[in-house]
Amino acid sequence: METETGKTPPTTLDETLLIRRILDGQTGLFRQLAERYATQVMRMVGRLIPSPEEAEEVTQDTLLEAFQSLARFDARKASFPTWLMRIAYHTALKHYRQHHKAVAIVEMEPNWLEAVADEEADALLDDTNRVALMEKAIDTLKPDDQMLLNLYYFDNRPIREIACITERSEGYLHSRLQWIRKKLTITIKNIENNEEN
Amino acid sequence: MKKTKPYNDQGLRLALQHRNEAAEKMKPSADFADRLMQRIEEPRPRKEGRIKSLPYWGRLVGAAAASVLLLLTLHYYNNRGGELKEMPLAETKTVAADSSSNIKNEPMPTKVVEVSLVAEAKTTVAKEKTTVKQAKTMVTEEKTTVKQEKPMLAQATQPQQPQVQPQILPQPIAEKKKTDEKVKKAEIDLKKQLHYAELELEKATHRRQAAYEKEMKQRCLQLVLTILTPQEEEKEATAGKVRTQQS
Repeated sequence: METETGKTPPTTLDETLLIRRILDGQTGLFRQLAERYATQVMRMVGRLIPSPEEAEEVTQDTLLEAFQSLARFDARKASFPTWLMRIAYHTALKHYRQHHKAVAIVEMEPNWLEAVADEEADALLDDTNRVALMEKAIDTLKPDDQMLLNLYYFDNRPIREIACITERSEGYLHSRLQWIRKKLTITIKNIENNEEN
Repeated sequence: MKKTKPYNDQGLRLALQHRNEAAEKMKPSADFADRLMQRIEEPRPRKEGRIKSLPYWGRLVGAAAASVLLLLTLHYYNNRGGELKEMPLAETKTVAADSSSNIKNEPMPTKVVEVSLVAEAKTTVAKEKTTVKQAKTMVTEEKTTVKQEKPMLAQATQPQQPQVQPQILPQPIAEKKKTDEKVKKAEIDLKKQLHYAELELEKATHRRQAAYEKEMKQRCLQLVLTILTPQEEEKEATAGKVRTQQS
């Protein structure tokens, strides 16, 4: 992972030593960690919260929360950036739910999931000519579904890591992804039909 | 767990890239780290306890009131809960005659039971029970004899033998009646004795409770006095000693 400062990415040993020192009372060293990951956190938050000021505020909250619960960080369970992303994910969702209006829910017919074949969804979502429609369709999704799409398609993170960030099971994430793809397919079709009419 | 193949979805990836263009350009401001460290180094607002804001005498009075309340509630619950529960003899303690005078040297009061009284009551109850049993066996024996006599009576009262006078015949019946009456009387006496024993037991428990309450009250008062006037207490103690010597 590339850091913002252009330096070589920190090894986990460095991080664990740094965290140990911070926990021992050298709180000033947390600045190093903050500087390393602030941009990464802010970009992740910014995907859900487009306002830069708000995104920076949420990033601050995330890093403060990370500092306060640093003693609970377990390097055996997840790496520090993954753990930090988990905090960012939950803080961003919390902020979004508190400050933003709920997205308009597109009504679906009953048994719509069966109505869309996997091949149809594959073909439609692979089509690069419908990017604008897809963007509109993504806007109709719930914030946690949008975050899941970003983590999977944009960050190219493995499902195991996403499970760690979102605190969901891998099985749930697989089925949720399938559900989101089919929903996007139907929404894109609906938008296309509306535009034609 | 259901595993799916990794989705390609090039169109969706492009859409997300386009959508996240603005977010990818985001950078924290120059003073971001400074503000964060300032927030970190700020002492967390902790709620100051109300007790600390009170003056010294207020705390003292509060502590005394709280301890008295605690003692009273303990006393109340002890009376309610352990009212008629018999404590095992191994855990009982006899009441010392001068227990109220040397409160300071003693540990907190434990439940006091008059051992001798309880033991006596128990032995009397056991005796009563054995006598009742004996009486019952007597009654059953009588009943069996009556059963044995019944066919004889039937023979005697047969119409083929009119020469037998009815006034002379019920001699064993009369005897039996007498013994029955005696047994009944004995039973009634035993019941009375049992009743008296129970009454004695109740009285003993009441006495026990009264003694316990008295001691508790004295201890409460002593405690309050020691909390409020620790210096005067010694004087009072010496004065009390003098009074007891005089008496």
